[in-house]
Amino acid sequence: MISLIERETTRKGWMTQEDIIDMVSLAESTPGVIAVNSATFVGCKVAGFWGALVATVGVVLPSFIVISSLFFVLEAFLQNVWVSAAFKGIRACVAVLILNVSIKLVGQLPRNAYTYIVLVCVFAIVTFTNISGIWLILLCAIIGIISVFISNRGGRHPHPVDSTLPTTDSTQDKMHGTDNKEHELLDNYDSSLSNTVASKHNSIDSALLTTDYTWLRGHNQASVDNELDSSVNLPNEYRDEHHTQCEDSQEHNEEDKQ
Amino acid sequence: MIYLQLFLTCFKIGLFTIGGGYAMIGLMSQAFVGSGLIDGAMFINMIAVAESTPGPIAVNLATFVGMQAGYKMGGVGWAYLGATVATIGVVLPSFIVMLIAFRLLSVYASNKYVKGALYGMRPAVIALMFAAVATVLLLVIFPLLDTTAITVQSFEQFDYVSLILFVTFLAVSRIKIKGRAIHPIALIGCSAVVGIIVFGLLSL
Repeated sequence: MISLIERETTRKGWMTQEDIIDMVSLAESTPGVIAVNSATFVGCKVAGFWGALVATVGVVLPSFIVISSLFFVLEAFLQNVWVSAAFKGIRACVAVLILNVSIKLVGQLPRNAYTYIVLVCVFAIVTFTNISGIWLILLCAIIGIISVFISNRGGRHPHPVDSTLPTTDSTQDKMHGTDNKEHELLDNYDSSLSNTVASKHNSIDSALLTTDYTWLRGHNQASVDNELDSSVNLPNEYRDEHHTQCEDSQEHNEEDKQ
Repeated sequence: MIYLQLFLTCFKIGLFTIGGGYAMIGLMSQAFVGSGLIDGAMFINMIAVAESTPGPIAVNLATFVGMQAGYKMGGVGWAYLGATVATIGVVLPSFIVMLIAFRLLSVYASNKYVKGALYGMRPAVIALMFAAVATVLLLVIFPLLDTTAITVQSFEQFDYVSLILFVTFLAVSRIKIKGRAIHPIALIGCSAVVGIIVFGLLSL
């Protein structure tokens, strides 16, 4: 959905690449439905409060119409022996789908004691008691805030939020991935923008989970400037320069962190 | 007042889930199935429909739940009221929070405490998803089981066919063709066909 939003809004000139990065990071880190968050952001950017309202209604309305018209069809057909047999099969499949998504998301969490303890405890409490999951989420948010607070007060160990700098192997790869994408962008800027969008966002999304995203914004700003300054067909020396520039800014950021 | 209850529940769900659609399933199943508003089997059907129709899955699901709750209460007109209330409820927190976050963009995204809170919340949200899997699976295998009040009678019905199907689908969903996993909607389609064959034709 995000790649669709990006394609439509950049084509209409509502958003820049940098706006998209802001949008994704905000939509991921604020509560609520990601698609709705993104739409609200775009609306707000283009036309303030009323823009946000219109965009939100716009993104929700198709769901509403489709589901409310399907509902009565489904209600009628579920009495049918064959349909209910089909849904009995589907139910087994739904469990598989949620399980696969959950496993994928666990892979993106930092591997430490806190993660595992919370996973097990919250799972057990929610499955076997009536305690609302909302309270547990709230509790965990408070634990997270307190832990940052303690590490600010001169704790001996750096907080995981700080320590996951973009220096680990996986994020390094992702950075180079993004870098290559920028080169592609420069090469055929107006023809194949949409193709690069999806993969670019995958790398951005996962990078955001573990890292501070300010380096990304800086990096992107640099490349946007370069695009403005130079023609589309770049000489090779320029590319090398561009590349080393990026590496420099990486190192810069790492130094800043330390 | 069921509509107010519906609105507040959806609002809370929208306000406390980070990570969108699937993350909300955990809270939703706890809130709606746990409170008896929706019966368990129907809720799983809804997830399948929400997944295979266009639109954000969480919004689809909220609309569906609202529709069902309203319909149960008083027929067609009330169903639409229920759906409207539930949809607005789940979307409103997104809208409000995003409006505020947009104004505070630079402060919000790089704030240490915001990151700390997110860091704290993520495992809990994912644990809720696993809890949803467990609830769905146990409900499919033991139709009489209520996980929050387990008794001996809960295990009297044991649907081993569904268990076999679950394991099979899990294996199939792991198969990668040219580096790509099978699309969820394709998997749902296959499972419908398998369901018709196994439960309909063979009537196991």
